[in-house]
Amino acid sequence: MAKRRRRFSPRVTRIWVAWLIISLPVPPARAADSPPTLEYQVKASMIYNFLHDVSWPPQSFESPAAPIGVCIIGRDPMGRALDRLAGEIAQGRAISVQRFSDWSEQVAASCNVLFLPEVEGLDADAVLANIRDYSILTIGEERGFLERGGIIRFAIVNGRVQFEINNSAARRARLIISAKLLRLATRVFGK
Amino acid sequence: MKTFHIFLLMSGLLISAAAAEAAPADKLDIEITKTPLEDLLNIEVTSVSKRPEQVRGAAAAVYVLTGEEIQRAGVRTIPDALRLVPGVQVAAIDANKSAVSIRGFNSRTSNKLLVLIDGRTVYDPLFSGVLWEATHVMLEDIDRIEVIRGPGGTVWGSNAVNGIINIITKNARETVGTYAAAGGGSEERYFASARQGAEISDETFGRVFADFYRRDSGYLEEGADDDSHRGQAGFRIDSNASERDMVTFQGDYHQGEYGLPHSELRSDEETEGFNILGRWSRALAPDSGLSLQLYYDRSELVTDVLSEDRDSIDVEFLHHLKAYERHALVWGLRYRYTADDVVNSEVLALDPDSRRENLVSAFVQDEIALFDRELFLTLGSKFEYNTSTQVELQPTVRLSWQPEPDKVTWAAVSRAVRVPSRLEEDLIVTLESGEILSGSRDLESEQVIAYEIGHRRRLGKRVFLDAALFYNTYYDLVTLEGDVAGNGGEGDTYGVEFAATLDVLPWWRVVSSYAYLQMDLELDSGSIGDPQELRNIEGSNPHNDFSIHSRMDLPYDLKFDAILRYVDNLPAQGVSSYLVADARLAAQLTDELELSVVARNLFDEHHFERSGSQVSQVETGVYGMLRLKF
Repeated sequence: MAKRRRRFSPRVTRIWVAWLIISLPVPPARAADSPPTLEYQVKASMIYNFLHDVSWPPQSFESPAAPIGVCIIGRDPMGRALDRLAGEIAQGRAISVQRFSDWSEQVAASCNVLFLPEVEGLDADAVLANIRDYSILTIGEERGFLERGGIIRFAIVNGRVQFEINNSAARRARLIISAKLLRLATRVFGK
Repeated sequence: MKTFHIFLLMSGLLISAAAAEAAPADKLDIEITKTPLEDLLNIEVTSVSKRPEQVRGAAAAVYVLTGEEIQRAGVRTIPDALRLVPGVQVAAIDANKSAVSIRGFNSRTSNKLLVLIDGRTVYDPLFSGVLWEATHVMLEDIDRIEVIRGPGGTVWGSNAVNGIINIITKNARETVGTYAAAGGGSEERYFASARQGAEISDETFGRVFADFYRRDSGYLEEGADDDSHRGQAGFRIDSNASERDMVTFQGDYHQGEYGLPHSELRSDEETEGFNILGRWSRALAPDSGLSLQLYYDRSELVTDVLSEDRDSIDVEFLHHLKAYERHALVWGLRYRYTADDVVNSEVLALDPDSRRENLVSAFVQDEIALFDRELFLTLGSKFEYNTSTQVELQPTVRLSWQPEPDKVTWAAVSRAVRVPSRLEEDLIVTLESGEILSGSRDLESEQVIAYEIGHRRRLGKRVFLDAALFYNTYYDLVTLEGDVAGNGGEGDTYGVEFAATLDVLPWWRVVSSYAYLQMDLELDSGSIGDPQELRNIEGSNPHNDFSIHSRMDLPYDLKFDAILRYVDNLPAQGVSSYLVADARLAAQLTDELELSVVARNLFDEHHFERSGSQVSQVETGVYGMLRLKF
């Protein structure tokens, strides 16, 4: 019986040499320019999606033309992914993106969505305590965020961004979360 | 001379201007305001897998069938779910056995696929194929099925010559609460499943489940006896042991009995088995991590002609990291030990009747980002040592160009091998004529060199397209050389696979797929085999098949799904083409309770999908189902 053997020739060796050459180290790109990680791009995109699936009471907005405020407190891991939201339309309103270093009355006045990233120096608990009386969709990342009164928490499950919802906290904030969002949530507290 | 310099300067300027335009500095990986939430939930952001890339950017023909799509299709088996994936050919042999293949070589023992359930290999080294009737998970637990068409040999284990089917179940975190479902009908006689999930402690979740079904026989004028039943029970625990560590521990036991259409000739096939798996993964940084997986699998197969007991132990270590800014490296080591004991019969025997095998493999793959992260070059190879064919090398080169987040063009050239199966090496068959056919220990691995190109893109907010073209050249295909197995076959296959998702309206999505396949196989010059053997392989694959799946979310919490499926004729099987439809209507009666009615294989009262001495026809079937979740 004839045998046909196709094994690798010196050509393959040349390919590996070529690979070694292109894989030589290059100076790292400028850090300031580096895009947000895929995780935070996905989270920013999810926040954009949430805007279409949550209803705010009319009194949350000063006027029919008032923008819908998406805010972040603390060091911002989303960067230009979040900037992509600015100027887009949600709930018939233009989205305005604002960044704050800490809690202030200004946050309550101009934010409809507030993202509290899990970064050093940000005390999400203190912010949640201050925010309790406002119709603000709070979105966090820390363990226990929902137990402490937050409304949506991002969780990484099987390497993918999923979210959990505290619907009783949403109701307390007079927000209505769509059935679709509740269905897509990994877990819903206070159904 | 002067003009030449000006020309150089001009072209230099033009090129740099073009480069600046083509590569905006603020390029992101996804379209922030255009990606639907359902898609976002499926993007892998920190990889715990071997593929630290998102499916949409992957330089391979990848398709993901989500758990929800499987639920909504109303299918009750994994092969039926795979009918919805472009480029996967599924044929029902009888009411419980299936032939599943990718890019050709369809048969009950389709032996060029790697099939995994939660990282555990489920193809049987006995014949390098999958016993689909014994391969099942509770459908409600399926998170997704990832199908990679083409050789995945580089990163994944051997046998991934034509593709990989990776069945992934939900994290226990996603299954907190009580779930119960039950139903029955004409073909799906009755089935029931139950699951209880809980938060065991802070960030540790667990579930236990049990699943049972009894399925009717297929159709034959004289009556068929291929009814079947199968039961399974298991558990899964997932713990975020710390901010950086994830631990999974899972296991299940299953037992089933599967009838043959003509029971007067042979008695039922029985399978039984259990497995236990542990996996630990640790994130070292956003772009790096490692994981260690260990499992033990025991499986038993009992048939009239051959019985097999098999024990396997498998350990795998993986490490992925970012190096020098533009390199994404993955490397891994794997060791597998598998031991079998077979019970021979007068018809079929294996010599020796017990065999132990060791497999050691290592792989390394590097994805290099070039041109401002628009072009990715992936180089890699797997190095494998196995008991039968010693050292195997399986390299791949892949290139993908992603100028926009949702626009990818890719191309790849790879080599993959399939190690001879235990049957091919050790089989002794005694035909009625007294002639004896035997396997051979001198077999080489079957080899493929695969050339692929593909394109994936989003068009506006509503359309997503995915197309792939492949050309495969095979060497050393196993054939019967006289009365001994040899490597006498070679040839080419080529084809196209196409998938399109159209969001017609916010509540209406249409997913369609089409595949074309051509196989040209021949005996090589030294072969003394029968050309008809290869004609039969070629003619057992449809040239064309397509499916269209319409998913509607209607008012009053109604969901309506309709599927149209076409499969071309199989000349070697004498099977005609068929066009059938499936439909499912589901009503959410209360927050906890869903009622659904499913009709499958409409338009065609019954049809053959294979021919042979033990086949039966697929019949139109209807069933109802209640699902309770709280």
